[in-house]
Amino acid sequence: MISRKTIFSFFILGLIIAGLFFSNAHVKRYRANIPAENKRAEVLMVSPNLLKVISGEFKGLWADYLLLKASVFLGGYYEAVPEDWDAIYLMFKQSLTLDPYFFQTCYYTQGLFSWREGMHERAIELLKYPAKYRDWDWEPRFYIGFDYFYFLHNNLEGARYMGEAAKLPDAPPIVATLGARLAQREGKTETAIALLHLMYDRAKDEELKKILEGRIKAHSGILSLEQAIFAYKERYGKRPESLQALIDNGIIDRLPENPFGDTYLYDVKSGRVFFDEIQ
Amino acid sequence: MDKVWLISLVTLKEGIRNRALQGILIIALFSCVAYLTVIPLFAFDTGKVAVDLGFASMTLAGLAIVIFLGIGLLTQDIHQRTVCMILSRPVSRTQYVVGKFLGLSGIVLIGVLIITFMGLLSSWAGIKYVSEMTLPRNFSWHVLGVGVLFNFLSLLIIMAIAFLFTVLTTNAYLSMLFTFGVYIIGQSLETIVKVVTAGEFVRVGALYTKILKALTWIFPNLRAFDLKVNIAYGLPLSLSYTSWTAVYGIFYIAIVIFLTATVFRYQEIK
Repeated sequence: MISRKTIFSFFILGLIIAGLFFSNAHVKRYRANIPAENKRAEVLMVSPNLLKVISGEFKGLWADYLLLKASVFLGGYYEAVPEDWDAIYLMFKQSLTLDPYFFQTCYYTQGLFSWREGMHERAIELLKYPAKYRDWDWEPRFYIGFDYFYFLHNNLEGARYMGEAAKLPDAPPIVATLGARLAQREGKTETAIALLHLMYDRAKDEELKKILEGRIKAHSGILSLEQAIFAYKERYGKRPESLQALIDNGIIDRLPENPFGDTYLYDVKSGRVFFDEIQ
Repeated sequence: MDKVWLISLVTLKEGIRNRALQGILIIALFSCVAYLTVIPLFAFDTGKVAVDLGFASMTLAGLAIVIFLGIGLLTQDIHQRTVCMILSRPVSRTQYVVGKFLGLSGIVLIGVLIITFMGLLSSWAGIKYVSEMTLPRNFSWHVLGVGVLFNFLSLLIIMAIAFLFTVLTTNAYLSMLFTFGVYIIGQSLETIVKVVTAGEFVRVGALYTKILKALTWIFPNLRAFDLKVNIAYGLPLSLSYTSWTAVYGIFYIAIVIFLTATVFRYQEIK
């Protein structure tokens, strides 16, 4: 025979469980549209060295956490503003100070930072950590070499790092070829496409793969337009006034598709083509 | 020597009765779940993430045994006067301290082995069933074994220090606080000295640097026992480094246990 007290206890327990489910369902509904990370990238504003001191033997684990935190923000719903990039830069720097060997941080630095205007020097600064510690790996040096050449127009440094990368075991032959091209100050867009293909082949993250795919497509478009501008100059002795002139004069049938905008941008003075903004 | 073994065996049984192993198993299971859920979030060097997670669980479980069980059993013996019952027999105080230390070392060893086994099991499952998971570069069973052994050795150093503070203070909370403090200092002192000596980020006076350097001769250098980077990235490990570090650890434990036994010998048990 179940006592009245037991029934009452079960009744109260049932009420509490129902209340918990009901309130939790409401909380879930309110929070459904909030992204996994906050709207703005948040970072612990401490020096990477201090973090190294306080993290003790868990520094590897902390480095993993910082990288995950930055990746979650970048993969979130919000468009990053310059302050976010500053915070993410510090997170990457902290992560690389804690574990300078970790290849994923190095790879993401090249995939995300190097291509951002105003972040090229910072990307190189970060990449120098893994380049120093991963003395068996050609990739960090290759990335630095590319960044010097492509973004900072410093062919000498670019060729030096590419040369160092080419000497390391497992470096594909293309690294040496690209290094030679750098030394000859030519083939900028081809070099970019080659690097993007190398990075794409290594990418496992679908989000990053999509970004790299877009960049390969954009640079392939730039390459075909550069070749068309060269053909125009050969024929008419001067550069075209606009990209439309290439179609009007029968050099190309149509402009290639730009995955990052409506059309490609053309700087008449330098004759260079850009997919995002004229630099 | 028989008496020491007897005390250590009793301590080992007491530790097992205290459900220490259940706690270790829970941590080990938790780390297995973490392996299979956290590692797929990374694309490169997943073996390194596995090493980070595995050794972090090993350290946490070891510290929990040392700080809660080790200090707890010793203070319990002193406060409940169980120690008087043991010492009324032909057992010296030194034999009691050494026996207790060996018994608790056995529990820590069992904990470390359980976590290592579970970690290896989940890594094997991860490599077999999770496409992202890979073995660390130049993986070597030998380096992994040395890494686990060094982790165990660093836990024994902490336990020896916990013994010393427990005997000195006879207060569990104070002992836990001081032991944890020494653990933090042991993990960070070397880095602090390096940063200060480099003078790149922090500039301090010469006297301060000398004091810090002097402290490195007193506090244990627990960073020396951390071989995670070598395991995770297949970095070479020299025989002379491992041998000297192991000898350093053993001597450090011996000195601290000697001090503990000396203090305990002259202590009045109320």
